[in-house]
Amino acid sequence: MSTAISVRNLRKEFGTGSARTVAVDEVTFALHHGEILGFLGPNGAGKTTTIKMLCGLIKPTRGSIRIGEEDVAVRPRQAMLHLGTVLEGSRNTYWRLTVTENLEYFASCRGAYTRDFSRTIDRLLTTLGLTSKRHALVQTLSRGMQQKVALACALCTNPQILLLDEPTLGLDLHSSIAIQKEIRRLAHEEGKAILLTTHQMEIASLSTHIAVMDRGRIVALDAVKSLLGSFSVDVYQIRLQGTVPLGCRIRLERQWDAKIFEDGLGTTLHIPCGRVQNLSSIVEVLEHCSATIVSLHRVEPSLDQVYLGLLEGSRETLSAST
Amino acid sequence: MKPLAQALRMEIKLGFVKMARYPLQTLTSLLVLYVLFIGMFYGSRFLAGVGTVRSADLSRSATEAIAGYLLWFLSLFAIDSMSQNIAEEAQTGTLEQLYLSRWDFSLVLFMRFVAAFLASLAMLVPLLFLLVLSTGASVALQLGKTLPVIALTTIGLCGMGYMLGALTLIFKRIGNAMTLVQFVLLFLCLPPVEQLPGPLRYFALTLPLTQGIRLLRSIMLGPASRVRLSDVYFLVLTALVYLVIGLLVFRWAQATARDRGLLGHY
Repeated sequence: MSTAISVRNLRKEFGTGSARTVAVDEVTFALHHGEILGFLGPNGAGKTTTIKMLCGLIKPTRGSIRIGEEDVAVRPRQAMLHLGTVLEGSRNTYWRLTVTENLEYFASCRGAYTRDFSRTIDRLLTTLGLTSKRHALVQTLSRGMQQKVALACALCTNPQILLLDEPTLGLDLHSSIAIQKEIRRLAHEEGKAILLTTHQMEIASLSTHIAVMDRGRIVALDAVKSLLGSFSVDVYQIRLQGTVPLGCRIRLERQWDAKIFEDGLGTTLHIPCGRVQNLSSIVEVLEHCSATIVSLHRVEPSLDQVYLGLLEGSRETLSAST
Repeated sequence: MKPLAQALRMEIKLGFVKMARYPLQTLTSLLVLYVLFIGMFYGSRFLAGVGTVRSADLSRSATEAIAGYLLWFLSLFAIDSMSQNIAEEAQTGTLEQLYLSRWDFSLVLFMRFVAAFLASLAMLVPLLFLLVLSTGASVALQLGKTLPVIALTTIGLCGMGYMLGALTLIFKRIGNAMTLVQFVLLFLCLPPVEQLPGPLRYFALTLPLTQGIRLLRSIMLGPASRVRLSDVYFLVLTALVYLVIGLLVFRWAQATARDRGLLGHY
């Protein structure tokens, strides 16, 4: 896969002297076509500043950014032509114009308006389910529809790279799902490189790769599968019908360090994998106690747990080093 | 059509679309400008006690006042198209998208400026008609002469627009500064420069509107009034100086805003 964005040692400082703040600190990453890179991080982590530097809206203090083959510092206008953006907190479109007028305007702004542009408009509106709204003023549309219009405007020049800053912020579930579906399709079917920032884990889960940012630095960057794997919580979860007899409970706790939770409908056992040499021996004990096993599986960590774990880890490392 | 010409066409089209989509706002603006002029013109006459002035003199002074007022009106639109536009774009969150355009933002702003200028010209025609009808002024339009003077004056105003646009990029809200500029232009450029006290007279002459108004008055008063070539040269010089300084200041402001992270939504 070819490289869409390449960022090396990116740093941004605001202010001078004692008022100096480092918003982005030695950030390095690459994004390839067909990949979705999710930028996660708490507020003020430097995600939006990084995206704005990619767009040329903020000048880096140092470091290099290449968009496609173009160096943003050397040929910013040419580099920007590869990008489509939907920026956070921005409406990104003209509310007093219709959907079609917005698309025509942004295409002409980017020098991509041609005689047969109406075909592009038709295709985009169909894909995003906006056909019936083509002559509606943007201000009359729902928040979800407006976000779709913003996405359509970002796509109107068929850019190969998309920067989406909080693309589903403030959307209802239905609109959010529709946008997520479209993001996935754009990366997987059209091979676009997508960089998105979000606080929402269901959006982050769209990503093929995750970069966790904290205090201006990337504290983890890897494929989602690898991150999830590295944060395996290593616990077997066994769900039983009814309660566990006392004798059996004592044995499970002593022999396998089991944690037992009863909830009135049944019992859940959490047994550390490290304590289990032979899973069948546990099953035998449970059968011996006449317990009925409903389910048994190894617990996978959620992206939330991975994210929080990485943040916690980075902060511990930071406080230890200081 | 070349992309740049296409982009300009689109700016002009959307400028008129917005004007037509909000007809009440457009009509109200026209009405306010009309009432303001009539109020100032007859109010100043009444206060000065010139109720017994000869009708020929009244017509001449009305022509002079209309020429100045129309150019001031154009200047409002021209300057507004730069700074107010930036403020509005930043507030509505489209400024970032314009920075991702194929052209430098100063060029995008210039296209906006041309669109606003043409839209204001479209409003100027009915306003002129109304003013002439109400004051009985005699106006020699002489488009071959008036339009170049208006165009040159507008270039100078464009430079001033860039300067105010630069302030908007850095400070975001400059409403009071804008009002100040509008009043300075109104009170220093509209009256005949010769009537202003010493230092103010020289200051007024350096403003981008003054020379344009002086020339426009001479042209609109008809063939009897002579236009001096030196005045035209001075207008060209003022226009170019303002444009160059405006562009330089705007570029500096852009670089500063990029460095401080000020470009965009607020």
